[in-house]
Amino acid sequence: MLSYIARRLLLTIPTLLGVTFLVFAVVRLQPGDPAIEIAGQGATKEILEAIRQELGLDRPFLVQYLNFLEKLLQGDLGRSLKTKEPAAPKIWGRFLHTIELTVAAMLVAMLIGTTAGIISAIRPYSLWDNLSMIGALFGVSMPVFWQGIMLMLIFALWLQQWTGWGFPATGRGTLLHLVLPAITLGTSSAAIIARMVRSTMLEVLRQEYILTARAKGASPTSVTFKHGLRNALIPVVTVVGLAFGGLLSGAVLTETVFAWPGIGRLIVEEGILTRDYPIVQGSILIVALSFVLVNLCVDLLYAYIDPRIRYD
Amino acid sequence: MINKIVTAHEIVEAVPIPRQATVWRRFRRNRSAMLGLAIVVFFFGVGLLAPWIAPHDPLQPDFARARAGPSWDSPLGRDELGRDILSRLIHGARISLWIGFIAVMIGVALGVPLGAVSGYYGRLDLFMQRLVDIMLAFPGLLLAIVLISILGVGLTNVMVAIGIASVPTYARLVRGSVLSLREMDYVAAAKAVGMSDKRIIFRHILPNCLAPIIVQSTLQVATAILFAAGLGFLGLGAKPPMPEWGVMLSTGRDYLRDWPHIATFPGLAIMFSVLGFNLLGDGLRDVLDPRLRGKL
Repeated sequence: MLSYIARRLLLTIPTLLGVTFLVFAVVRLQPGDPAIEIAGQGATKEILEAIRQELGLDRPFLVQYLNFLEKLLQGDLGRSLKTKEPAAPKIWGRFLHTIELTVAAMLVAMLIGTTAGIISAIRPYSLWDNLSMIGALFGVSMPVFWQGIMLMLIFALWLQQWTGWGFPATGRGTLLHLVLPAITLGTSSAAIIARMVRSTMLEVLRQEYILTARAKGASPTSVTFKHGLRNALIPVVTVVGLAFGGLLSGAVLTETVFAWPGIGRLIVEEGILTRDYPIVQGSILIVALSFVLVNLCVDLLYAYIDPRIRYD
Repeated sequence: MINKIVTAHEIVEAVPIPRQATVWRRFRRNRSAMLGLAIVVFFFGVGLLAPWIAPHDPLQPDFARARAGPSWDSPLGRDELGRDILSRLIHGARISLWIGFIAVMIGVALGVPLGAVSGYYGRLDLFMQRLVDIMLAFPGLLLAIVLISILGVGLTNVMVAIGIASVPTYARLVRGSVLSLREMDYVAAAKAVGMSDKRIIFRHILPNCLAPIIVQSTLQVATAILFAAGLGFLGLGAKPPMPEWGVMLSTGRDYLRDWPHIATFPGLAIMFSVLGFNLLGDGLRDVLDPRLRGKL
């Protein structure tokens, strides 16, 4: 196991370096001159030159990258071009809000996904199985932002009109604020997990050790959960890693719908649309690095629960 | 030994590839796949015939009827500027399908050769795979957003960005297939008769990877439609007054409380078109290569 961990960690290093390089290069490839962005169109040559020197833009590309890495390791993500404030605290604060939403969505996805998948697998081709698989199909096909708008319409606006109480539609604060965004964001992952649990569970239930368990007189519940589910959940672990990427993608849209102050909105509204590149650079870097780390954890966890992986 | 070399082409032909007729017969029996095909054909037809079947001009405002609900004249109602929603959705089908196909073509054109070269030449593999790892470190839509931040906001750039964002998926998929195919006897035979690597890759290896590529591409059209609508919704894709489904939804959101029909119908259009491609993709997977079940 130790050699597997070492190998996997070593493989992560070039990926992490590559991610930082790509993000750095992307920002340098942006159209426009950052010095002009800071000083404005009317700035003199001397001022522009001074800004370039201050930001290190006059140095060779590779030197700039190494400086960027050095600062990154110290937690310095530069300053916002608009507010001139350090970018790191703002990005970090927003990122935590996104993680809050993503974790809640993941819980929703795992709860609904595994429950639906297990019930489907126990009674394959039954009415419930058909219904839940049709639901899963709609779940992966529904645009997350449209689903969010519809949930907001029904459970915030209409419910408020009918009963005088509705879920909060926008913003962040109480646990209730989390309900609609988390369900919205978690639905498509729930659908993917349900399909995966169903198919792996069906496969596991056909194995000989299940037959053995039944033959020795284990109760149906024990066969399903102790012998079946525990083995069926192994491949699901990888799906959870993949789903995390989907959730981070979906978070950008969900945050926009529910005015959730997360990193997705920061990237789009305060980054790309206003051309504040340090914000874009830092935010994308944080998201990508977190995704790499989650995948690393998933791989290690997978190797831990399924020893066959380590020997590949 | 010499006999074996002489019969290299026969070995290639002996690889069991499902015959077209068999594939179609199996496909026809798969009800959900047929439903998916019907939905896809429907949206294709709507997109192709848009100028002739749309009851109104999709861009012509009619302020007197702004936000009007469904009626005989406008079965899905009017939007915030009084434009006919049905006509805009019909024209929007054309845009969404177009984005889907161009994005998939870009993904295939770049990702397939990358994966084939990576899988076939072992010495490039490690480098290529790290490159793919780096691209996969950016969750799907976010990679497209990063690319749009370089390319600029706009519909063409959306197609390019979504296409490039799918490159690592294709590269990894094809690499996996090539890795196993290059060990096949018929590849060894082709090498033995002195075929060039390029010819082996294009004539003998890639045709045998077609099944997963076709399945992935069908599912990828669905993803591309979703991403494009998402980017339009965020203001990074198509711009108003273009009748793009994501943009329509985004403007409809402002009128949700009193006129929910403006945001409802574009969402349904996105959902059903994506559903169609997902069903078709799943069906094709089951028919062309059931072993892919659970992998794609």
